[in-house]
Amino acid sequence: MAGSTLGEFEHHVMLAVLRLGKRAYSVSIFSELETQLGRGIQLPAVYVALRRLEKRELVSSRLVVPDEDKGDARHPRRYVKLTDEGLHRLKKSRDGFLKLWDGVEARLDA
Amino acid sequence: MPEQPPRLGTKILAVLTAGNREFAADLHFLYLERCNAVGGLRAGLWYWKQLIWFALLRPISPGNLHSGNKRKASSMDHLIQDISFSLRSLLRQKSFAVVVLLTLVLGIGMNTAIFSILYGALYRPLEYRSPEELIQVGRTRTEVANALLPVSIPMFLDMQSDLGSLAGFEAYTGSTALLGIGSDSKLAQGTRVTGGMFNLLGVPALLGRGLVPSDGDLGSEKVVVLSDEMWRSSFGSDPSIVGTVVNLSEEPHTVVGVMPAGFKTGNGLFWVPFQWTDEQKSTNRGSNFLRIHARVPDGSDLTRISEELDVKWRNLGARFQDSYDESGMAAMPLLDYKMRRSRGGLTMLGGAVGLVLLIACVNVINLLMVRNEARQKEITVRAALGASRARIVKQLLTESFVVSGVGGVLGVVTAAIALRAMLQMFGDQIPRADEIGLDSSVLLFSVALTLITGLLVGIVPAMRAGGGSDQLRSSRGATGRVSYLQRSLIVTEVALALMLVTGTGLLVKSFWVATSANLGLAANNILAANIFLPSAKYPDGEQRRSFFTELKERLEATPGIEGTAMTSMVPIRNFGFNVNRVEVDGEPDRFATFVEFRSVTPDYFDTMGIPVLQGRVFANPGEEDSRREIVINQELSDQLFPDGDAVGRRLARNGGLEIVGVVGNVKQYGPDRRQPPGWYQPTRTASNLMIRTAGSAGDFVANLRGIVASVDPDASVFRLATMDQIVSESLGPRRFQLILLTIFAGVALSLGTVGIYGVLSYSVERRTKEIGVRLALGALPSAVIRDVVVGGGVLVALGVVVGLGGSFAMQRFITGLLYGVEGVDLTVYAAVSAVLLTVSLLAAVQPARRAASVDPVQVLRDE
Repeated sequence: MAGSTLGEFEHHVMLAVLRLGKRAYSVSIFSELETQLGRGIQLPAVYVALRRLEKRELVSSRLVVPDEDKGDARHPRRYVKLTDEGLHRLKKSRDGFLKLWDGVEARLDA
Repeated sequence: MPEQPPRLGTKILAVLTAGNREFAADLHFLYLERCNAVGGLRAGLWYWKQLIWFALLRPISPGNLHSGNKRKASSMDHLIQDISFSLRSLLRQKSFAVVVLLTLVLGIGMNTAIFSILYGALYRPLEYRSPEELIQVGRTRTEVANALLPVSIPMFLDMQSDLGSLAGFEAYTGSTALLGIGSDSKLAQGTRVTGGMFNLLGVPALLGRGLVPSDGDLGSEKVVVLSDEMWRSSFGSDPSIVGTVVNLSEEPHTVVGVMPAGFKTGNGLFWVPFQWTDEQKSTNRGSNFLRIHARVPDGSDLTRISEELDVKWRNLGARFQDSYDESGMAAMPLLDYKMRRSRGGLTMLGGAVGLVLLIACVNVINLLMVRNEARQKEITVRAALGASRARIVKQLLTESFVVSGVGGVLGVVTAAIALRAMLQMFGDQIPRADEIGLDSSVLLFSVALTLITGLLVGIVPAMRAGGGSDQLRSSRGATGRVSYLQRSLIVTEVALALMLVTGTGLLVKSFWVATSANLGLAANNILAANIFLPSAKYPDGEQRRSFFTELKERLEATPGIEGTAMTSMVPIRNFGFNVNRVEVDGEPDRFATFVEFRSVTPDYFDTMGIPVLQGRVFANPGEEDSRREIVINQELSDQLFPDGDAVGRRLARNGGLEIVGVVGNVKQYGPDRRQPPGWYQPTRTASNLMIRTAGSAGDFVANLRGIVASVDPDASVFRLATMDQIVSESLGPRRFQLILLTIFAGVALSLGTVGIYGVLSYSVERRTKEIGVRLALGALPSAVIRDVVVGGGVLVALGVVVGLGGSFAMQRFITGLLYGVEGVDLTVYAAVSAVLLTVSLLAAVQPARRAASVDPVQVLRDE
């Protein structure tokens, strides 16, 4: 499983997780993607992507239940972070892209 | 800003997420964020979109994988699986989805909208205390079926003094008054009621109090209760209105209360109490103008109450024989009474829109069958892999429910839009329009309708498809003929559409007859206006007469004005006074019933273009003799003097009225109503001015106000309208029915066409091989085209025959709504059949041409 390729959306989700660091959970990932990609995305799609990524052990999650006794009225959140394998896959993918882009960027303006 | 996401949405989500609150909480959070950013409406749409995606994708939150509590697939899971499968397969076949959904949205949407009107007007309880106990009471006469006629003051009081098994008995009548606010004044329609009316209806006042019995005592303070509408529009919702004094026709009245919105008796915007003198209480037993509301104890038998009232009434009649007109008395539920004029038309619309839904269902059944046929292979494979027949039928049924469900949701949205448009366009033609809306009863109706539709359109195709699963057959083996069931469906569809279009055709004809009816007067270029003179300045008749004389002189000196006249009642707008019975002087056996009379100036007939058929019009009124002269209309002349010798005879009334002339009939009650027998009596002035102009009467409106003001700036002009406008307004309800019916008929016709087209194209597709072989063997393309067109034509012709039978049967039920259409109207039937045949044949053209263009070489190569 871990060997199969990353879909574009999964790739986006992983990058959002990376950018958000400790604040990464479903809603913040959703908002980050909408802001950065500048288009509407579906919340259920984020859930699906996260589930697949977790199944492939590219991300791991941790449920944080707010302490209502301390007046924390927020709902339970599942914070997500990249696993070592996930980070490795991202790095590999970036290296690949950079190599492929090397020397052709100027053509975009042509 | 809405703080909560759509309620229905959260409930659906709770079912879909099965207790996992994480997604719901996330969605709620983002929804609120969006509400702030883009507003509640767009946020709500977004919420629904996310919900649909959730249903399609069914994501489980990441943690569930590790929680280890994997549930066994429940029937709920099966259902959700089926639903999401159906939605996905719908999305895959976009054109199929669009056609089916559009059909259902039209069907369910139009039905929901019409149902809200029907329910709101005819069935929603009236807004009174225990409204089911309220009844309308009135005189009955055999000549006028189902009418409850008014009674006189003394007769009402006698009836009221002995209630019997009634719990209340109160009278009311319409009352127009000039409402003075500051220096401004306007004509307002109000209701005069007996003091106990408010107790009888039992609705508490919004501000202050309602009227009480002591308000009706002669000599007590003059008081008025305002409606919510008048309080808002004329007094700016002034919270301290109670206790202030307003002028009603120049008499100061103290405002004692404001009634809540929705409280109505009569058509009034305000209520004032009757204050009868002893003379009024005991004289004029034959002067009938009071209408009666009564209350009966819960669970009373209305038939028995009616009988009891009738006996009491006839006993009274026997005591006062001079003024008794042989009438009886009866009661009906108040709601039925209020809706008696609208029920027929609205019920017809309900029936028509029901037909549209049936046609829509037939269409969808056909489409689903075609689709299932195309999926036969898939279904067979699933059966072969072990799916039980029940499971397959369930899956297909779920699909039809999903389709009808989506159609239902979109239909309700469409209905909301359509309803708003209808209320905006026809608000004044729809009874109780302000109480109509999409409420829980209407939504319940739509849900029921959606479920029934889902079952109706799903069951036959599902059973057939499921049943066929045991025969593993390939599409090659298809017989090539469209099934018997599908052909019957087409016949049904054509028949239903024909019935609807025929009904519409009959109404169109009826409307046409009404609009082109001879009114008996020259309606074009006539302007009607109501002139009000303040009684302080014009205390007696002499001053009023001199005002009108001067006004008439100035008007007639104005270029473009051909004549003026005055009348007590404007035709069509105002109904005349009625007498129950009038006899020829000296011949008590020769009489006419329900005769109306109006007071007019001598120049009235000339101005209005009413022809004088015999004799002359009355001489200049004012001289003592001429007051006894009357002019009768043709109808009364025909009834009383069939030999045409009316002129010179006398009617036994007010000491004898001499007939000096006979004039043509005028449709006093509207172009679509019978003309009543009647007479005209002379007057020197009356409050309604009729003006005949050389050019368009509408252009003269501003001019008239100026001229009236030039005679006396204190005189006011009200209810200014051209006669054409008055005629057109009187046809409003008919026009409303007609426009809606035409829309329904148009939809029915389009759906029928789509249905025929669908089945024929499908049949051509299935017969490609056969057609190819025929063409290869030398058949001419024209023969193939003829074959397809005839095939379709036979079905349509059968449908037309069945539909004509249905239409004949149906016409009996709508006869009451038809004016000027009697018996079997062959023109309408023939025209409608021709339209339907033409449209259907057009639908067959494209499939036929496709059949003729089949390439035999290609077909044989495939073989």
